[in-house]
Amino acid sequence: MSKEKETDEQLAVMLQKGNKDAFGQLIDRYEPALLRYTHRLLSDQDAAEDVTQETFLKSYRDIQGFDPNRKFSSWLYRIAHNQAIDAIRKRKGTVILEEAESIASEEDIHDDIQNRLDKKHLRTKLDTAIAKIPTKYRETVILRFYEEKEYDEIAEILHLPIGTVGTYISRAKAELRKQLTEINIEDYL
Amino acid sequence: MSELKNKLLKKIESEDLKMRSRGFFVFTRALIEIALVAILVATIYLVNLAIYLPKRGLGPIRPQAFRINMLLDIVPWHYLIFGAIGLGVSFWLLYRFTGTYKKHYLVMVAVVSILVLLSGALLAFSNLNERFENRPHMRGLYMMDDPRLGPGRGMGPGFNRLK
Repeated sequence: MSKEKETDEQLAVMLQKGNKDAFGQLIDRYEPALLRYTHRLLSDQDAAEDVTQETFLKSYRDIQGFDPNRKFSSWLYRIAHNQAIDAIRKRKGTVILEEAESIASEEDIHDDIQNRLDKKHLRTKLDTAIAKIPTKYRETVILRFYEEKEYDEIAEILHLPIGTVGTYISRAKAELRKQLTEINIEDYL
Repeated sequence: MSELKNKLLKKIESEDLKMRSRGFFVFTRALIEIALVAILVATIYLVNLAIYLPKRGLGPIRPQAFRINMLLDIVPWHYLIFGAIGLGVSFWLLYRFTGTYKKHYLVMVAVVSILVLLSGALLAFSNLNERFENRPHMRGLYMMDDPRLGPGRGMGPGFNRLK
C-alpha cells in the first residue's frame, strides 16, 4: 500500500508507534485546512498561524491519547477549536474586521473579470458579516459551509448535541441575513 | 516542505517536542473516572443524610402536628450545600470528560439530579444509616445541633422513659 492511500487514522497509529514521517504527512494534509479554518475564525493571519502551529504541537504531544476508532480530523479540529477559543479569550473577543478582505482575496482566477469582481465583493461582505456574528455561531457556519463538515462531525468538534448544531446554524443564518440585508445579498444564503 | 512542517520536524528531531506516554493518558482517564465516581457516591451519601437526619429528628410524628418550621430547623443545610457542590462538580466532569455533551446539558443535569436524589432517598430509607451512626468514626456525621432540643426546650432525654 502506498503512503498516499493510508487513512488519517492509520497515519495516527503509525505516529503512535513512533513513525515521525507519518506526522509530516498529517501536517501536509491538514496545514492548509487548519490555517483556513483558524483564519476565518480569528480573522487574523498571524493569530491563525500561531494557533495552527500550537494545534500541531499539541496533537503530536497528545497523539497517544487519540483513539484510532474515532475520526482523526474531528480530534485535530477539536484541538484547533480549543486553541482558537483560547486565542479569542486572550484578546477579549475582539475581531479584526479589516482582515476579512484578505480571506476573500483567494479567488478563482479562471472566472471572467466581472464575475470575479462580483464574487470577490460578495465574499468580502460575507466574510465581514461572518466575522461580526458571535463566535459560537461563526464556528458552526465555518465548519459547515467552508470546511464542509457533517453535523455529527461538527457536534464532535464543538462538543455540542447535534440538535444544537442545527439550531446554531439556523441562528447564524438569521444573524447573517440581518447583517447582509442592507446590501441585498441575503438571497445567496 | 512548508515552513511550519520544517519547524515542527526540527523540534521533534532536537527533542524539544516530545510525546506524552500512553500511560499518562490511561492514568489521567482513570483518575477522572475515580474522581467522578467518588464525588457521585459522596453526593448520594450527603443527600441520604439530608433526608435521614430530619426523618430521625422528627420521629413518628402525626401529620396534624407537623410544622414546616420544625422541618426547616432540623434540615442539615451544610450537607445539602456540599451535596449541591458535589452535583455541580459531577456535571462539569461528566460534560467535560465523557460523551454526555451529545445530549442537551439540561437532559444530563435532570437525569443525574433525579438519579442522585432517588439513590439518596433509597439509602435514607434503608438500614444503612442505623448501621453507620453507631460506628465511632462516623458518629460525627450524624450529630446535629437541634435548636428544639436546647436547654429548657423540647422533650428532653427522659421523655421516652416517662412514657
